[in-house]
Formats: sequence, C-alpha cells, structure tokens
Amino acid sequence: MNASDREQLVVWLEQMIDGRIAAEDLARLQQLLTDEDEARQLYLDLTRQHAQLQWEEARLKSLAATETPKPATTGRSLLASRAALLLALTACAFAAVWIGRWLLPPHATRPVAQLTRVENASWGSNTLPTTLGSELAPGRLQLQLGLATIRFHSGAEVVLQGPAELELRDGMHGTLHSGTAVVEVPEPARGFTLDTPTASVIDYGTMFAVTVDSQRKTATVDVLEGEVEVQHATSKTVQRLHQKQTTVVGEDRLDDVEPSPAEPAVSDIPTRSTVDEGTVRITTATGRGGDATVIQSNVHNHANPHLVFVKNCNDEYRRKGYLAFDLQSLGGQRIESARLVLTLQPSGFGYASLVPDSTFSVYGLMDESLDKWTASNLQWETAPANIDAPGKLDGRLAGKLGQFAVPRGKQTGQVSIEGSALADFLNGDTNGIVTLIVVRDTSDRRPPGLVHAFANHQHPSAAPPTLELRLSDEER
Amino acid sequence: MGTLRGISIKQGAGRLQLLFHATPRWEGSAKREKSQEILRILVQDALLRHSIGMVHQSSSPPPANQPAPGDDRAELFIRLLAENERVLTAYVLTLLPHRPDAEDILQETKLALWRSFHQFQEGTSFGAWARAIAFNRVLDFRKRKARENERLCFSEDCCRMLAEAFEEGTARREKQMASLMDCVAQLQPVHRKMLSLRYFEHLAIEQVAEQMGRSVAATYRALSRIRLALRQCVCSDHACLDPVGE
Repeated sequence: MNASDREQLVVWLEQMIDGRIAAEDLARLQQLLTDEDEARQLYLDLTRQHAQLQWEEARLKSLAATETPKPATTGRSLLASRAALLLALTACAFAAVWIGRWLLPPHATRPVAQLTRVENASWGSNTLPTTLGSELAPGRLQLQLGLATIRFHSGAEVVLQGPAELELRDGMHGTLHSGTAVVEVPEPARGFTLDTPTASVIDYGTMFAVTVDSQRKTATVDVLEGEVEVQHATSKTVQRLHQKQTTVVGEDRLDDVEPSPAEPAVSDIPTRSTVDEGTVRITTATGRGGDATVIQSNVHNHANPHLVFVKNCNDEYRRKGYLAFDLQSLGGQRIESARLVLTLQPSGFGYASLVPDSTFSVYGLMDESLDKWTASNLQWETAPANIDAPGKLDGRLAGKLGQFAVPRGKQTGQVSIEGSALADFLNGDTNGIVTLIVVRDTSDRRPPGLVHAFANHQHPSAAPPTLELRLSDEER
Repeated sequence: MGTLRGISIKQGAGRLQLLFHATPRWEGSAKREKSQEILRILVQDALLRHSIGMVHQSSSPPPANQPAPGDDRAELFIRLLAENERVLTAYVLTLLPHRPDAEDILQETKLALWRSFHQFQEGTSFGAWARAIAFNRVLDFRKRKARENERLCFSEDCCRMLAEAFEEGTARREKQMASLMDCVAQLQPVHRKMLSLRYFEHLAIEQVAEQMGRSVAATYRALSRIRLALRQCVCSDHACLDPVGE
C-alpha cells in the first residue's frame, strides 16, 4: 500500500461512518481488507481510533477551544521538536501537505494546480505532495532531479526541470525561485504570470522558458513561441519579447533583447559541493577518528566492512551509527560554521518499498568521558548514550544537532546537516575527539524494511563521513 | 418509588435491564454524563431494593436457573462491562462503522450479555465472550439488512477476518489509545476543530466542509490525513507491528 492507497482507505472508512459509501467502493474496500494484512491492520487501527474519539468527544471539544497548542512539557513528545521534525520531513508528501496546507489561511488552501507528470524526479523539501496526480494547493515544490509537469487550473502548464524550486500561488500565478521551467500557456490562460526574484514574466499566449540563476541572481527569459512581457522587479521597466528572443534580468539591470541562443545555458547547479577555500575537512579516517554500527542483536552477519548501517524497526535488527572525528589538528581554532556530510550507499538488506520517506537525526555525545569507544568494542548495550529503543538515545548524554531526510527508495547521493547546533557542539569539545550518532527517526512501515547505509572510512570509492569546517582566527 | 431528575425509578432487576437501553448513546457529552449518572444511581437503587427482597415483585423475574441479578452478580456485571466497554465499542464499530447501526448493535449486545450473564464463567475473558455475542448480533444484522436489500456492510467472510485480526491486536491498540489525546493536542488548532465538529458536534462531512470553508473532497482528504497522522503519532510511542526478521 502506498500513501494514496492508505488515504483512499481512510476516505472509504469516513464514508462508511456516515453510511454513504457507494456499493462499488464498499466492494473494493472489502477486497482490500480481505487480501491485504496491512490494509486490515490499518483499518483496525483507524476504527479503534474512531471509537476512542467518540469516547473523548468532550475532551475534543475543550481541546478544539484551545487555539494555541499546549507548551511542550516532557521529553517524550515535545511539541516543538515534533514541529521541527515535521518541518524536516518535508520530503514526505504526507507531512508536507499537512504543513503546506495548514499553515496557510483556509481560503488559500484550495488546489490551484495538479501534478500531471513526473519523470525521473527526485524531490527536495516540499510543502506540497509529490505523488503523481496530486492536487496542489499554494505552496512550494523543490525538484532535485528529473522533470515534473504542473498544470495550473487556468490551463497553464509548467514543466519544471530539476534542480528547481517553484512556488504555486494561484491558478494564474507562480514564482520560480531557482532553476529552469518551460511554460506553455493555452489561449484561456493568457496573462499567466511567472515571477522570479528579479522579474515577472507575463504571458501572451506562448511557450517560454525561464531560468533563475540563484547564485548570480539573474533570470533569463527565452521565448520559444509567441510573445511575453518581462517586467523588471525593481525598476518596473517593461520589455516585450517575441519568438526566439531572450533577455537576462539582474537585480539592477534589464539586458537588451537578444536572439535566443541555439543551446541555452540552463544550469542552476549548486556549487556548494565544491569546498570553498579555507574549509577544513575532517573525516572519520582522520587521526583517531572512526565509525561503527551497533545492532541490537549484536550479531554481525548482517554487516558490511565498508558501511555504517542505520535502521529503525521493532525487532533485533535495529541499528545506530557511531562516528568519531579527531579535532586535534584544529589546534583550538574556533569553528565558524560546520557541516556533516554522509554518503548514502545501498545496504543490500531489507525491502526499500517498506520504508517511507525517512528522517534521520544526528546527535552529539555530550559526555566526553564516553568518547573513547572503538569499532571493535562497541556493543548495543554499552554504546555511549544508547538506549534499547529504535531511533532514540539517552537525552541526558546526547543532544540533537540536526536532521536530514532521505526519500523513500533513495540509496545514493549525499546527505548533510549544518547549523549552529553542530558548530556549537564542536566548539564545546575539550578532549580533541567528538562522537556523533546517527539514528533513523522513521520506522519501517512494516518489517523487514530497508537498512540505510553510509560509506564508512574504509569504503573503497565513496566519501567517508566528513565534517566540513570553516574556521575563524579566534581561539575557541 | 421515587423520581430522579424526571425519571421514575422502579424497583427490580427488570429495570436494571432497561438501563442498558439508556446507556451512553452518542448524543452529546452532557446528556451522556447525565445518563451515566442516572445509570449509577439506578443501579444502586436496584441493588438496594433487591437486597431487601423487592426484586421478585418485578414484572420480569429472572429465569429459575439464573442467579438473581443484583447482589455481587449484578455488581460484577457492571464492573466487567465498564472495563470492557471501550474495546467492545471499537469491535462493533470495526464491523459496522456506521454510527447508528453500531449503536443499535451495542445496545442489543449489552442486553444479551446481561440476559445470558449466568452462562459467563468467572475467570474467563469477559471481553472475548462479549465480542463473540456481539459478532453474532452483527451477523444477524447483516442478514436483516440483506433482506431489506441494503448491503452497506461487509460480507460474513470479511467480518470474520476483521474479527480475527481484531483479537490479535487488541492489547497493542489499547496501549496506543492511552496517548491518543496527547497526539490530538499536538495537532494544528484547525485540525482539532475539525475533529470536534465531527465528534462533538456530530456533523456530517458536508457540514464540516461548510464550517471549515473547504470542498467536500478536501474535507475528506483533510480528515483522512488527520486520522493517519494520529495513527502515526500513537504508533511512534509503541511498537506498531510484530517483529519479523529482515
């Protein structure tokens, strides 16, 4: 069952509650319940919840009257950390819709477009669902790779070419924040407007392409067919562009109209991955560094000498990743900014389809006396800050430094965390070694789900866990 | 014989049976609390009257082979029913999600449980016994509906599969329900509002949609996401699925 199957099942249940399910839908639901254990379990969880909500109707009423959420109290389910988790979960369409839809005022939540085609797409942080056929309310789509076709309700069709980020405003209006989009506007949608940070492109029945270069802060408009109007965001100067004409709009300039190039440059490929000068890289292969996996069963036949495994499940295959970095070489220099980069690798264990879009948390081991572990002596029971629960650590010994998301099925590429929590943690080091612990927050949808893996310091080709640090001249 | 908040109290076990007609229906919590209060007092009343020998003046005396309701037996019944009522409600709602249907079956079941309580063996599972009786009521209900050509419930086979799966997961689900309201508290205010409209105000989807200024389709979607999110939330604190290898 995928996310939309599950949603469909709930809708059918909702209709049954009101006694108005269509006979053919009832038949389909019944078939599903008869055939699939997963569907039955879901159905039973939901009817139990339904019964409980009936019992709790009075409390529901009083809770609904409380407009502001309760302040977080215990460590178990901090509202704030839940909210943060949800925000980080944006790759997960489910949570995404949740936030995207609900953070907006109610009148803005009606769908304005539909995701009509998806080709080799890999999504980034989205506030909108990315399932094919999804109705899209106002919100943002971040496409990392591939193509996605968004048909606005006006009829305008935007083909997004990853990496790109598009914000949907209403049926006649979108904003391209970065990357390339090709827009085709049929007659009835004439006047469709695509904003960019530096210019608005108003369509007059055409097909045009826009590339936003977020590094250079320019938008390149290229008319493939027909005519558009380009309005400079700051000066409000207007330019008309016809077929095979192009212009570049910067923050403070609107270039002359020129003939379109035969092969336009469209890349908005982030240059982040190239390490800037002055950045220090420390890996788990550096000095006294190291990496290891702990597994509840402490059995190592499901291991790999080149990988760190992480898994959140309810059986004895649950795993957490331990990384040690040797900071001795920094000589006490203050770290201005820090980023932890991990390289995803196929693990060879478990079914990827059974694990939803997942978030991972990286924790820093606060008790420095526990930094002296080695890969060979690390056991589930004695691993620093570990507790016998999937995806969780002892909050007194380890503090959360950041989260990253891995979409369902993705087993390659780099993931990272950065931010002041990581830099502060590293700056607080006194013994020259820091331990970071990686856990998966997201559990299997059902066992036996995929084990996520990251290249370790012994991997023959992929980069090991790496800290990219920018140092300042100050002493720590 | 006295009057309690407008309801006349008659002595005897026959009345006690009637109580279960008056047990909580979904008609708003104030009413329900009131009816529960009345229930409590009526039960005490019946027990008291029985203990002073008035029960046999009742219009429906218990069968000879049945220990007279009242005394420890009635008390035991009330206690067992109270302990198992939530699970029983969930069970019936699983097989018959349509509220009025489930409500009818629950009332019928409670009466049947009381009537055949003498067959219940103390020490065995009251919950399982109650569910078996409820299951038969559901099957009867199905047959009735089928005769009336209303087929808005599951087939017998499907009911059996659901009932079986229900038994396997009861303990886990009960544990999860402990954190349900914490999870509700973590929802966005707008979502809590939707749940309140649906469960406290008892509005149908169309009315919820109207109140929230959304389309009916969007309301279905929203509610289904709320339900899935709550499920996820209660699952995250408890084991949701049985362990299997990898």
